[in-house]
Amino acid sequence: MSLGWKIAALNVLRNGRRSAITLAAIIFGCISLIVFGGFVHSMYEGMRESMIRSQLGHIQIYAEGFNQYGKAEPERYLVSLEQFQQVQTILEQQTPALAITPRLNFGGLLSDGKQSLPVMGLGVDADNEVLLSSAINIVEGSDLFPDDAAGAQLGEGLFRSLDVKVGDYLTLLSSTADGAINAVDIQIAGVINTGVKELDDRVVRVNLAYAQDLLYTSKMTRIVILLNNTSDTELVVETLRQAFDEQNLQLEIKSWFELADFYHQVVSLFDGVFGFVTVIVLIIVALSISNTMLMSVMERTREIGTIRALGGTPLQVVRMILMEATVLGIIGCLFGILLGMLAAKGITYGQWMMPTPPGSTQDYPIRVFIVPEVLIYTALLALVITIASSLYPAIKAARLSVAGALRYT
Amino acid sequence: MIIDIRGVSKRYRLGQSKVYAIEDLTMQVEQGEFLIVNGPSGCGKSTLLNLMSAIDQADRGDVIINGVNVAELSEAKRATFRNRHIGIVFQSFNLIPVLSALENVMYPLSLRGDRNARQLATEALNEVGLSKYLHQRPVHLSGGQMQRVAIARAIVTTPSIIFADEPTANLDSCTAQSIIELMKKLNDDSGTTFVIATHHQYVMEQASRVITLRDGVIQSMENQPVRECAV
Repeated sequence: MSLGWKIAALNVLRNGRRSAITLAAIIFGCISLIVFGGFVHSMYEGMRESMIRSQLGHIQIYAEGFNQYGKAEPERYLVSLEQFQQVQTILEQQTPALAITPRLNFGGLLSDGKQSLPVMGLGVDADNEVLLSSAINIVEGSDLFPDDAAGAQLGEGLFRSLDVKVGDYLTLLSSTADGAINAVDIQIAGVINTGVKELDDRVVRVNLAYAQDLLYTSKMTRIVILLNNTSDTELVVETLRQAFDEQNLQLEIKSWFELADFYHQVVSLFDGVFGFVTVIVLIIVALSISNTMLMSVMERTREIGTIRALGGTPLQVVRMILMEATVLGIIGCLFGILLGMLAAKGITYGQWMMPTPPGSTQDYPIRVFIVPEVLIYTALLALVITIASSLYPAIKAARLSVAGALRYT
Repeated sequence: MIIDIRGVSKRYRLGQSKVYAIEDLTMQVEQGEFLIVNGPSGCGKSTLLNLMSAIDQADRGDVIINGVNVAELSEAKRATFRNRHIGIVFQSFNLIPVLSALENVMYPLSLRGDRNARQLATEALNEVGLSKYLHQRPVHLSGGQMQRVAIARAIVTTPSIIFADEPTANLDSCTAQSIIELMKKLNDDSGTTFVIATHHQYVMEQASRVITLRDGVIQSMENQPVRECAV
């Protein structure tokens, strides 16, 4: 170890209490950033996977033009059974998917005889949809089964709006593909909670065949694909695009990333909040470090005067103080990261619940992920802020008058 | 001539007024001198030493050391100049408390990145008779030993001049005499110029020349024969 680093290390040990205060500030900063960063990442992941596994899937495939014109004329932009089978074949041959399932969306009215409510209908393949609904909770009743032709699941909000119970019959009205009005009876098989209030207040899920009968069609609105890993999405989308081009399939592909507008809004909001909290934490840490380093410099005024008298240049004095800050920063980072990780584990282990967020219908447990990028970012930031906040004391030390510093008592 | 001081003045602020610590002082120091600067407290001894050792800057006049006008050097260059040409021994030793005796002596060499710092520092400590105390921290050394470490630190860079401001003020008389003897021996052996500020009579007895200051001006300047110091 060079003499400079040795002096830096020994000066850290020289006044244990002052170094402990500086280290406490660095460690506090590290723990704050690791825990908050880990919490935000857990929220991002929870929200993303919840959306994927309750609504979006990883990939959705539509008839060409659906996303541009489908809202006005949905019946003209449907995927045929033949196209669905072709996509199934491509997926089986080229990419591993956990589930591929058709969905038929429709709007309609649901009546219990006393009142009629507008609903968002969804025809699903009950067998395959199970995998795509792992984030959906069944609040009452049971799941949807293929052989239960008239069975239906109602969103919890919708169910509470009606004077009904599980097993009751309701009438579902909708327009057919030709524009005629059609109605079918459905029996409430279960009540579901998707975690999204807007959906829970309007959704009715029925078997795909039953929905196709209601609309007089054999087609579907979209094909939804669930993958094993979310990180595979881009690769599979690319593979499918190439295959569709080769086979001249007139289909459009969208990944969950393109469909999850709400997710992006929340990520953007929380990135801003995280940035703001980071700045506040860094200011507190920087002021604390700067203050203790300034005290350290003042206490060693005479020593600094001696170093300057012996031939130490102002730059060498700055370097000496910054080396000391670097030693403190490294020790603080190591302890901060270690304690931050322990805090993250402890909080996750505690399973405390957070209140229901806006737009959601469920409480959720606090989970704090240990995110390598957050650890690296925190360590670098803590080190940089320790050194940066020592810059003023270091410059002050370097600018001391040598004769004045030697007279200092 | 190793130091040439021409018309140097230095004033300090004292409350609302300014007082002269050194006023229009002119003097020279020759190579190999053992010069004593004498005078009562507050006469300007320390200020003069600070000016001559390039620690402080004059308000007026020139301080030329080894042919270099130190006022013309930048702060960094003046520091480097001190490191290469000047050794300093302080009244309170001013050792770095976290370092051992050896590391304290190595320090001025490490500032210039000398790779032989350890070997040269060991030799310097041997020269001042502290070969057994290389790894002792200052807190474990006596006052005399600390001043010897400080002398070793001053000579390790082989400077042409060593300044000592009241080097014996914090020592008992016996230790003080041995320190002055050590300085005189170094002066005799290596020809290093010594400029020592003191008002102790037994130090002055060793001087080749004594300058007496009063109120910032030279009151007297006399050469005197060297006498042996009784231990």
